[in-house]
Amino acid sequence: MRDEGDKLVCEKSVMLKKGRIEVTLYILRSNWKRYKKNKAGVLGLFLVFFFIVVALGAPLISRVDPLRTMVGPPSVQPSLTYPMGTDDLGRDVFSGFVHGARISLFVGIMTALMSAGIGVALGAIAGYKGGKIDSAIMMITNMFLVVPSFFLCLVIVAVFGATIGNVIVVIAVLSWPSTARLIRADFMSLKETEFVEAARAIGASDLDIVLKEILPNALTSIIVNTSLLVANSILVMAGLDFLGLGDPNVPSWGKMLMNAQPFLRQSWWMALFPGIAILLTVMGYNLVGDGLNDLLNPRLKER
Amino acid sequence: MSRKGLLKQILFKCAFTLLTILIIVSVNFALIHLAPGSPVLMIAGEAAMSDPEYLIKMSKYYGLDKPIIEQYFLYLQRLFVGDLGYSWRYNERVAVLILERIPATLLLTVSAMVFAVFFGIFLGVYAARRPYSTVDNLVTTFVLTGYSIPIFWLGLMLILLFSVNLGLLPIGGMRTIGGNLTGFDYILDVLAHLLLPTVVLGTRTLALVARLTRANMLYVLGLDYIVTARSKGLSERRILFKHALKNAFLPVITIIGLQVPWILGGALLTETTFSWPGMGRLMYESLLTRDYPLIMGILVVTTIVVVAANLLVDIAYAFIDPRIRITNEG
Repeated sequence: MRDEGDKLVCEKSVMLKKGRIEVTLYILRSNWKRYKKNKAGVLGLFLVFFFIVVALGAPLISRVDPLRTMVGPPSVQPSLTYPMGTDDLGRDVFSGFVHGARISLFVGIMTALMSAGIGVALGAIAGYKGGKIDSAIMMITNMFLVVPSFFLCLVIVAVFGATIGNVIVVIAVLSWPSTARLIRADFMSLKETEFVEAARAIGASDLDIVLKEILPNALTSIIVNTSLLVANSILVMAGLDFLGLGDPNVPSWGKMLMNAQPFLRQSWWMALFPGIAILLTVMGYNLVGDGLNDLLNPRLKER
Repeated sequence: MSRKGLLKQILFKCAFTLLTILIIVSVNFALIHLAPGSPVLMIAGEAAMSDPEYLIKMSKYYGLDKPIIEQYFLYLQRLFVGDLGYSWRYNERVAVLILERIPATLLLTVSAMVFAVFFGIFLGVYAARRPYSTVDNLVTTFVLTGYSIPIFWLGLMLILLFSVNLGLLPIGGMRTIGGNLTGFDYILDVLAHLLLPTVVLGTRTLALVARLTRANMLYVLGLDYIVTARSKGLSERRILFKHALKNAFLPVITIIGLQVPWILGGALLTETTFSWPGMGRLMYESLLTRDYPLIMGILVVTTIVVVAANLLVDIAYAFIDPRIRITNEG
């Protein structure tokens, strides 16, 4: 008898799960239909996917080692052999363009995830708890917001070394405040809703309410914000690389631009292509962020 | 809000500002002591390592043999009287080096801000006039590019176009070296050097201001008092710039305040791209040579500037818009 009951519960939960997946798929499909109408958003999605494919397939797309010098003659104009020319030391610019996508996306995505993690955790606590905890967290957040973060970033990387790990941690630690403010505002309004009150009435714990009731509803703004964080992190990292504070053993677009600066007069191609790569990647994540924002907060679009 | 309330708010903000500065200064102190290698290396600079006599002198001066708490208070004491340390490489006090560079940075950042706010508002208003028209779409595209473009690359491309190819503008620096210009010619020369860096540094803020102004204008233009103004038969220009912009402008002030840290970071990149002889360029040079006293000094000074600028914007805001209270929330 008991076994049968368990079986029933089990089947029911499987059905529920199946149903949930179907519902999710339905939501995705109907949202995609709406998202498709936003041409800028679709372009952004294309750019994001394009550079992900380039990053993953880099060793296949260009077999030349981007860091190896004298692959060809130095400072050759773009041609069929060297589609984006070669730099002053005979490195292949096209190979740098392709391989540079890897580190940009890796650092951008890792930083954004970490930054979003810190921001969501602090914003959620501040918004849900309110009172003194909220005041204290917001004071720290506001402090981070008014600090000259790029200078601090440079100093910390200069002191502790320009490894990729350091760069990721530093950018993440300095970029979470905007997320925290956003999530706090979401949590403050969501905790007053009826479904949260209902959950509280049936005796759900704070943790349950936060994770199961509020967080899924705040997920949309978290996703939008994370996309924008990726864009920002890629820009900051490019800036660090341009100033010579990048990992010297990894090919990156910012470093290519640093190398291009003294040769601007002779080799324009050294400066042109890596910059286009940064611009398009960053634009992709910004467009996706904006597109999702329009999709998820249609109120804002009417304004 | 009462006068007393306003005063209290401002005092609270001042305390917050001082606390922020104290924390950054402490972080600075911690960095010197947490960094790999000995603190004396951080204070004296790598170049000084070959001079043992100087090292001993520095150790004594900074009290590196004393307990860390005591060192911390010594450090604060020295900062308080404006002693930011000594740069071995320039053979000069850090405070003097930074003071020399501040005017150039101020000129660049202020002109970039003015450029960004002026054109940003203009573009935003014109885009909002007819939403989803060609003008609006152009502005939207420009805005998107503006905040996606790495500014140092924009700088390189503008140099390539205007200085290398067209030969219209100087390639970098703040004045023509050996030009010996005076009076009006000198001002023109500086302005020619200032043009590209201003555009480069201002672009991102311009994009943000234009985007925000557009959104606010679209909201404000739908309000009743605008309908009233229209029905009174006021001219379109008067409605846009006099009636609507007044209310749409307020949030822009907040953005200006929040943009100050970014503008200074951007100034570092812009000055490096254009060899502009400001504080950012000094920071870049000191990073290259690992001139730590100079690096740390610039960090302290920029923090004070940024935080103070924010305080000013907050106070200005409270005076301009009495509805807004300065609070620590939201």
